[in-house]
Amino acid sequence: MAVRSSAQSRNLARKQRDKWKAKRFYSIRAPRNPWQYKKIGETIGENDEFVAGRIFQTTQQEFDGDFTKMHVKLNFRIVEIINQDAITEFVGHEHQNDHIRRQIRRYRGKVDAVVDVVTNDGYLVRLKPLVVTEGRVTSSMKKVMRRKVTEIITTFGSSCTYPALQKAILGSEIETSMNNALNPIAKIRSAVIAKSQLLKSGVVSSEGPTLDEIHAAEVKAEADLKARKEAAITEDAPTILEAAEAMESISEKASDEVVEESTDEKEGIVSESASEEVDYSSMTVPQLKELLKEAGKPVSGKKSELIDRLNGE
Amino acid sequence: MSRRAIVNIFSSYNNVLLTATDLTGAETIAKCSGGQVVKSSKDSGGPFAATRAAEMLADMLKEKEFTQLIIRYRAPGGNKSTSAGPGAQAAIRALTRAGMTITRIEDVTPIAHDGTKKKGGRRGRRV
Repeated sequence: MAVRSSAQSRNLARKQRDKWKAKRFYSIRAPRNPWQYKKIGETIGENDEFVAGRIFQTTQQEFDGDFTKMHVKLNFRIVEIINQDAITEFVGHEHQNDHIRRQIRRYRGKVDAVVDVVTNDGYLVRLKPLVVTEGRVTSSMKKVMRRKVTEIITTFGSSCTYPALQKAILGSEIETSMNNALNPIAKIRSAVIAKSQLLKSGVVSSEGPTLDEIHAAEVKAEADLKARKEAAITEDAPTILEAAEAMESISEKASDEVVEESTDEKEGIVSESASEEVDYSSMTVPQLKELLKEAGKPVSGKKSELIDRLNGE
Repeated sequence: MSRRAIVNIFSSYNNVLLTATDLTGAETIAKCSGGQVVKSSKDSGGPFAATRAAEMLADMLKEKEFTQLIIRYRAPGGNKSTSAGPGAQAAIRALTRAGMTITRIEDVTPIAHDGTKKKGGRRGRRV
């Protein structure tokens, strides 16, 4: 059984490797409007068609470096692929389940609501606010709180564009206004928007007036990026090299012989071990056994064991 | 160069399934399971099988230059048990041991908010 399974797995591995070579990497980029095509991740795909529609999830901490928001997960859907770039749209966020559960305890009140908002530019977004209070809340209090929260969110959402709403969701704008409005009713522990979902993309209005413009901007942005990268490379490279050279010269001056010797040794060891491994794996088993005999070691076992034994000299 | 991958760990009492995907979760990079690495199927859900499987997975990932991992583990969930089996923890530990950097660990057990009745009947499983 063992033999068959290993043979099968080897076959599978061969097939996978072949497929793997055919795949290429796409860099996932954040939406244009609030985030200027920020690079947020990578994905693999054989074909552009397969990559479109995938959802990329990241945390807000990774996204903007705000470590107090490591429990916020952001979802981006890949909508368009331009060469190596997968351009996404923001399709909602979510607070981590265990973070929410940690807050809700006995003797604490929980008020949640579901609010559907249509933004200025016609995006239908569902927001799910969650309010946790210090003490228990009666149902009449809950009702009032829910109404106020709904009011705040709908007025805010309908008066701004989707990009602005995204910023507000990630920022603390809505949350502070919710906090201020609810504090007279009950002592608030936290008032957050725990979840959002993009239900319907907007009718293209002010944000993406024409596709041509977007394309032009994209091309421009890409060119800019490339230029910036190149500039960075050309600027950085000499400085880094110079710095490295400077460091070397300094270290040499400081302790000539000792440093040199140690580096030499390290390099020697590394190169030796590397060459050995390469040689052994390309050798046949009889050759390895001869080597083992010369070294006066046991010659039994699988090839990998033989190699290990030879390496473990 | 270090690439990032998601490692999905499904851990029940009977087996551990490890699947490494890209960041969108759509492309499988490598996979391994407890049943592949032990001889008797009764051991395939245990911590030893999980460790072996995780080591194998780590090797496969290293070959493809993935060293940063996001771990999403789950139990059977739904109307089955919502507590992860003994293999989940062992697998995560083995991955860290194998030199992978783990950026975050997440529980993604599906939790039924409603749903069908759990199997076993009214009086439970009679052993």
